Amino acid sequence: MAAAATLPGASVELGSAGVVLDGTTLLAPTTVAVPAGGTLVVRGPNGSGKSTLLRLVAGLRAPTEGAVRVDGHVPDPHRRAFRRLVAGSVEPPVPARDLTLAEHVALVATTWGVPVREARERAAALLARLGIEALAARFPHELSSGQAQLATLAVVLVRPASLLLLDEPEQRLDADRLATVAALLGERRAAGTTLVVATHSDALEAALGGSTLRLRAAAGAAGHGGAAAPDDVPDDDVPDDDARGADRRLDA
Amino acid sequence: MRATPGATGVRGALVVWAARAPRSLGDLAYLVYVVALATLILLGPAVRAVWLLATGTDGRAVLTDPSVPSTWAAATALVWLAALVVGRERGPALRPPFPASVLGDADVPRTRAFGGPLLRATCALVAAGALVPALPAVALVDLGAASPGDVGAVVAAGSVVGLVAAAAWLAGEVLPERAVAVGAVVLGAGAVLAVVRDAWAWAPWALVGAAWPGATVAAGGAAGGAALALVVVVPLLVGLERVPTRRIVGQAVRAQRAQSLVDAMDLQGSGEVYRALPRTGRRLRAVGHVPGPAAIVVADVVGSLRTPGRLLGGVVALVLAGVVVGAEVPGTTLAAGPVLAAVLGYAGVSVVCDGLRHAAALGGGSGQYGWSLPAVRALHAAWPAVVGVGLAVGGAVAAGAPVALAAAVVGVAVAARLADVLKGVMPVELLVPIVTPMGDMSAVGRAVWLADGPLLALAAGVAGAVIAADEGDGTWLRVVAVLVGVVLLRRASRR
Repeated sequence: MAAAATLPGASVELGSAGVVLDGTTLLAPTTVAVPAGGTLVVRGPNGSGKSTLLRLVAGLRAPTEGAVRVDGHVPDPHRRAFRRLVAGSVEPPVPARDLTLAEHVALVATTWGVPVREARERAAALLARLGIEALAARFPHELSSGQAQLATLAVVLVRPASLLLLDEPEQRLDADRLATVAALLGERRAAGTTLVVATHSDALEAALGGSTLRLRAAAGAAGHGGAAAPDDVPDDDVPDDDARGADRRLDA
Repeated sequence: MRATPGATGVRGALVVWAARAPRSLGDLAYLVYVVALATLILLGPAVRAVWLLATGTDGRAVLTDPSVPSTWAAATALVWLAALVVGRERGPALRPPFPASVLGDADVPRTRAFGGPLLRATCALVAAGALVPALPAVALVDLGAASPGDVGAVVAAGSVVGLVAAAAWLAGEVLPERAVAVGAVVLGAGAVLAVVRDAWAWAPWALVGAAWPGATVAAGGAAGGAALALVVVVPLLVGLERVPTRRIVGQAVRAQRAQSLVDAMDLQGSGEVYRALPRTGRRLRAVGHVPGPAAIVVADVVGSLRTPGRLLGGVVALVLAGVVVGAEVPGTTLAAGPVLAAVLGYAGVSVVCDGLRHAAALGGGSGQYGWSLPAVRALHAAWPAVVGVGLAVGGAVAAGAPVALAAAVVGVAVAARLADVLKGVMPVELLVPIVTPMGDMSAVGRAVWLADGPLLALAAGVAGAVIAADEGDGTWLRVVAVLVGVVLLRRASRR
């Protein structure tokens, strides 16, 4: 892949990790383990806690119960070592309004230690892979919403990372572009990068393979709903104690 | 507005629009209460202070100085320039987005569809133009340096200034971009020439300046200016008919968004709405010159070049900050230069802060760049700091003004701007009521938080004026510098 240099994958563990905010359950206690280089697809309806789970792994929110570990450490985006491990769109990249798309992607690469010439080449190659090389000289305000989504993915994918956290990368993409994105993510997975991807797309789930964690819609109050259930357990089979917040386990 | 049965056309549409959220009598009473209190508490003392200053010894020297007509002429040209430029983004013929869209596309003349806002804007500008110079003119009568007839001439000239300003505002909304740019250059040149060489005495703004009591040039500017306004009004109204509805609605949407942000006390966000977007210079290479942290600085430099008009305005303001730092109020030894330099420095450096604004928008846990957030902020602060202080020092050297004073005052003002850019959203704690015997004082905290940047820049200017007047050794400026430095460091290092 023309994007980032490969780094060894990072493991992810959630041990009964959940978030309750002012009595409202954002994520019911969830246990899941993703080995280094593994892939976890997170599915579930809106409000089931997919983004919250990603935010826990990204260190953007602390669990109110349970624990989260990335490569054995508590996620902390203020630590340089952690920032090097994790890239993603959980907190979308902020576009630089007076840089062109190609310049922004290249600038991000240079800050991660890529030599200038190589950064520009990587940026150009990545934009070409995403099918947006014609947009290279555009400013952010000149991009449509779908193009902006691809630009976001370019900024995320150009930097090296051991763990990619993507929140609904299929948004505003047509089927062809989604297939392109899935192929790029497949290349990263093959290179050893760990993937944790929240999605509503059956096609992306099928393309990524790996394990799937299905979250159920939260009922709103603490201890009710939002329970994680493993892919191989039909929702109907989830016992009542799950619905009250007892966590489910999944080894991805 | 109360529903009027049978109202049709523009009035009917406005009746329906107003009925969606009728204003109660209580709302109106509160509005009257707020305006009355603001007038009593803020405007009254301000007018009294200006009156006392104007009728004092220094005031007399200032108001009777021979440079007043040319200064008024220059100020007039700058007001018209500002009205023209503002009109490009927010013209006077404007309504909220929905009625602007409906009425803009309706089969009614634009002069009827937008006549109300246009008339209100014109009346407000004419009134402001008449009232602002009236106070010093009346002070001249009190000092025995002018007659009541002179005041009438000044008020008439001021009214014309307001009338032409309204026309310029509409011209900004109606005319194509190139015509607005030409008008802005002409008015800018006129302002400079009026001050520097007392030139272009035939120009409308110079003629208006000549209405000042004691001016050596013959009066008559009011008539000339009024004729100018009347001559241009018909083509402008014809132009208004041809303005695409899309442009009017675009202005309306931006105005509404900016107002919402102001209401939420987010002035940075409000300014963002009107910040020029880059449309040129994409062939300039912003990335790929240098490796490492310097790449951020180079990207900021090239990024600034991509909004050249805006950059030019900022450069002019920063150079002027250095030029004027040693200036005194005409006819006195009052050191107004440092205050003016601080204001110009604070305003001018804003245009080169886009990179820092980008850094400020990065979330606390952003892993976008390979460096820590404080480091990214520091790198993006380099370009505005260097260009801000550098241009002011250059201006001071060129004008023979005190270089060290320019560097110190503008340096602190630039730091205040950097801190302002990094301010972020208002802390929710400031919304908590502070109950005192005098009422809820929480608004004071919010006001200080909102205006701390301009206030600190002004404080730097005043402290610089103390030095320039040989009334201090720089202690106050050092105090302000330390205060600004602490605020800047806290905001830059916030995680």
